[in-house]
Amino acid sequence: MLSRGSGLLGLSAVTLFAVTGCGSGATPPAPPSAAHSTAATADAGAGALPQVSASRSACGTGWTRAQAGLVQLDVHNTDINAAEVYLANAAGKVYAEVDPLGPAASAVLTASLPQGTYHLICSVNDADPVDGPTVRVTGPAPGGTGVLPVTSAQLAPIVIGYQHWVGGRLKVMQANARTLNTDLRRGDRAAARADLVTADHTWGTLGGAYEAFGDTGEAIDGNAYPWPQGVHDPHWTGLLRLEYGLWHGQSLASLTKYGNQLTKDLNTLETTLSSTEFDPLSVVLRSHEITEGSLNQTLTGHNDYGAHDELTEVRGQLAGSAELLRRLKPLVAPRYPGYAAVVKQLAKTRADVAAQTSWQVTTPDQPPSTGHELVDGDVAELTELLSPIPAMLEPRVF
Amino acid sequence: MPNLSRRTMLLRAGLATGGAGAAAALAACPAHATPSATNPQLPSGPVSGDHPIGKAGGGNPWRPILPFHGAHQTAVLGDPLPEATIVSFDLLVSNKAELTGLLRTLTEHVRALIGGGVPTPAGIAGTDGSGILGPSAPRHALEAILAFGPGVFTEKFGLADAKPRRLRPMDTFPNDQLDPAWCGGDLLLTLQGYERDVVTNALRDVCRATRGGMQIRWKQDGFTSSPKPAGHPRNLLGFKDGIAGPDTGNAAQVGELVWAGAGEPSWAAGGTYYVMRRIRMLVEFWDRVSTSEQERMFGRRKDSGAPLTGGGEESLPNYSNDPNGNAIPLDSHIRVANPRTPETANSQFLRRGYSYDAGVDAVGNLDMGLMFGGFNADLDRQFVAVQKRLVDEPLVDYITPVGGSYFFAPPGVRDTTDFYGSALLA
Ligand code: HEM
Repeated sequence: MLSRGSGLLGLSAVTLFAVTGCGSGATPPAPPSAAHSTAATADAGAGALPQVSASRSACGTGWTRAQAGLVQLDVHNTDINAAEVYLANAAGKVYAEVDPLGPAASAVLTASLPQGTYHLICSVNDADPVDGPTVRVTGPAPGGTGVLPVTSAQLAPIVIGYQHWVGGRLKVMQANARTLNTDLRRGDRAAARADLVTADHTWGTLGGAYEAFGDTGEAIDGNAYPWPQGVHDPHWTGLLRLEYGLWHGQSLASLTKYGNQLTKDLNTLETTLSSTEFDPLSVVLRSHEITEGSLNQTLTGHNDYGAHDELTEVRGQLAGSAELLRRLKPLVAPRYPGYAAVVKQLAKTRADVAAQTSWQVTTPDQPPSTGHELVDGDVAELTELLSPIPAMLEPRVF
Repeated sequence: MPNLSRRTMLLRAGLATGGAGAAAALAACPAHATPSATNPQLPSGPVSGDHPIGKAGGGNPWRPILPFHGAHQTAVLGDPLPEATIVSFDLLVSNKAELTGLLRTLTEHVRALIGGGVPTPAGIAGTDGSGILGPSAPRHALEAILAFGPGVFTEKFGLADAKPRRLRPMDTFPNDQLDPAWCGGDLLLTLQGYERDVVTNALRDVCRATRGGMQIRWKQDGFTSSPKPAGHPRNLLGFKDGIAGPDTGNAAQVGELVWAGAGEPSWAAGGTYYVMRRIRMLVEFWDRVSTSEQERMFGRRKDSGAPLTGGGEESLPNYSNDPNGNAIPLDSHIRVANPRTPETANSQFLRRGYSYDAGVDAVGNLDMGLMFGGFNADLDRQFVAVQKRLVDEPLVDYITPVGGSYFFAPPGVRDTTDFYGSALLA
């Protein structure tokens, strides 16, 4: 089941959009905050809000002025096509968006604006975006900060480079699988267990969380939960199936078929990776999804079938997140004032993970160990700090 | 009428405390709660449902919200609100500066959550809050109580010498069956409001803002039922609860019984020891016990809440007329907990508990009970003394303390620039 869709685009190429003169060097926006606006005057409700139209012919009509602070517009799509509506300032920084807004639909666009000049942008599907009239916003309230949007074209080279890197990691993974198969055939359980842990680490670096690699990824690293007979289900394959067998006394001879299947599935993935391109949006989402997986699947023990190698997997996942962050840095750093904090938290998390000497898997009747809580808190904080990146870098059409 | 403990089946000759003579005099403090407003009330926010917000007092859970800023955490004094979440956190911060930062963040978020209104939109610079309160959150529909566990007062934070003198890991009492997963914690946050969603939103927001600084250790949601049919709300044993206790409208009583001061480090003056115990009720067993036996265990009528010596729920139990416990048994809960003697008067404390309902145990019995909360000027003189008196009371066969911890709630956040624990961290 794909929640956010696989990271692979069909066979289509990445669509490149013309860059519309948005330079980089944006002033940094505020970090995400659920703090409540003290400047809020009216409670939200469509009744008293300015009625603003959004279409190619009448973009922004109905919005003429506003006080700094909380600004809410009741936006109607008067076009016959679906649209994306943005509220941007003169420098092109986006402060709010409604995406999508169907034809004839309306929605409340909520923004926190410092004083300045703004306009709506109506990006109606299959047409060039249209700018609405300029609106002066005055008043002392500080307001939020806007972000210079990113286009697919800006993301494309990064996505391609990242995909190339993932391809390299896959080669390492294939080598890991070969070693594992050799040791399974030799009947060396201790070596096979060590090989499995190594492969877990490598797979973590690939950032396979949340079905990034579709069904093939599930065949490689899926857990037993989706299968009717659970761990006894003959259709369950992959790293976790091997782990289960290796740590539950199953004969190595009986596990070789899973080793061979692993190799096959990795080869399938290799073929897919060489013939399809990563979807930029999915890659951007990956920036917090890898550690979401660390939190929700790995550290919880959901994917622990006996090896107790949570920390090894997390080390791999952190390496994968770090690589992606490093590649996205040229787009993230100028937009995100929290970028330095992300880098710092990533380093702290890796250090705290490395410092764990007596890792204890949490059991239901015990509070988590101090080390577990520290690592859980670190990864949670890191994930929180990473979470604005997809919102900022989601490719937008301008 | 003899009161048999199902545990021992032995007749007791009398309890150590509250003997016939000692019970003759009434306690110094009038012992029913008629809290008068100690502070001007803030306007209450829009709240859905059938319950208009009424006057404070008499246990009314639909009372006005108390102000956030002040010399004390005034929410301590209010009767329990309809919904609460009680959350114990372990600290992950590693030095005093980080702890200060964490408490500032916590304060700012709690303040903003209480203020309500339209959350600042994240735009495309991040992601928005939970949204479960809709586009505009109710204003002044939330209260918070923050308290420190013993883990705050360590060398790591340079605070080893600042520990409130009674604060320590919770004692294990003879009738306890403590589960480590439900004990301990460095910070306790009680969030309470009229509605579950307001409380849940607040917890999600606070956790999000403090991820790397603290981790939830345990959490229990609680609730207060609306009065049935009137007076104090009932607990899950069917008895009206929260009737007796210090008069929160009486500054002298609150000063003596709730706010800590004498003998404490100076920063702690105006704070209070906050005891939290998770007490499981064996409700299936309880429902198989006759009402009269239940009433003798408590010393009050089940229907009206009146003491067994007569009157209404707000009437004082009359122990001087009942020296042998013919009406209110000598080992009944209320008589042991508060014998109303001059010597025991200063062991009274403010009880502020919430019912909880948390699933099913291994044999199919319901896991429900009381998040027993208590505020004390002096932990040992009050809660601990009362708990010791209650050891082996007849009720213990039906209630089992399974978790909890001792905490110290620091003085209040004085104004918009202040933060929780500022005096401690100064
Ligand atoms: C599940 C556990 C408990 C239940 C169901 C329970 C129930 C009650 C009830 C029904 C009353 C009478 C109504 C009232 O005055 O509020 C009462 C009073 C009281 N309880 Fe409890 N209680 C529990 C645990 C405790 C504990 C652990 C303590 C203290 C260590 C305690 C201390 C008191 C005190 C001091 C009073 C007031 C006595 C008076 O001043 O007359 N209770 N309790």
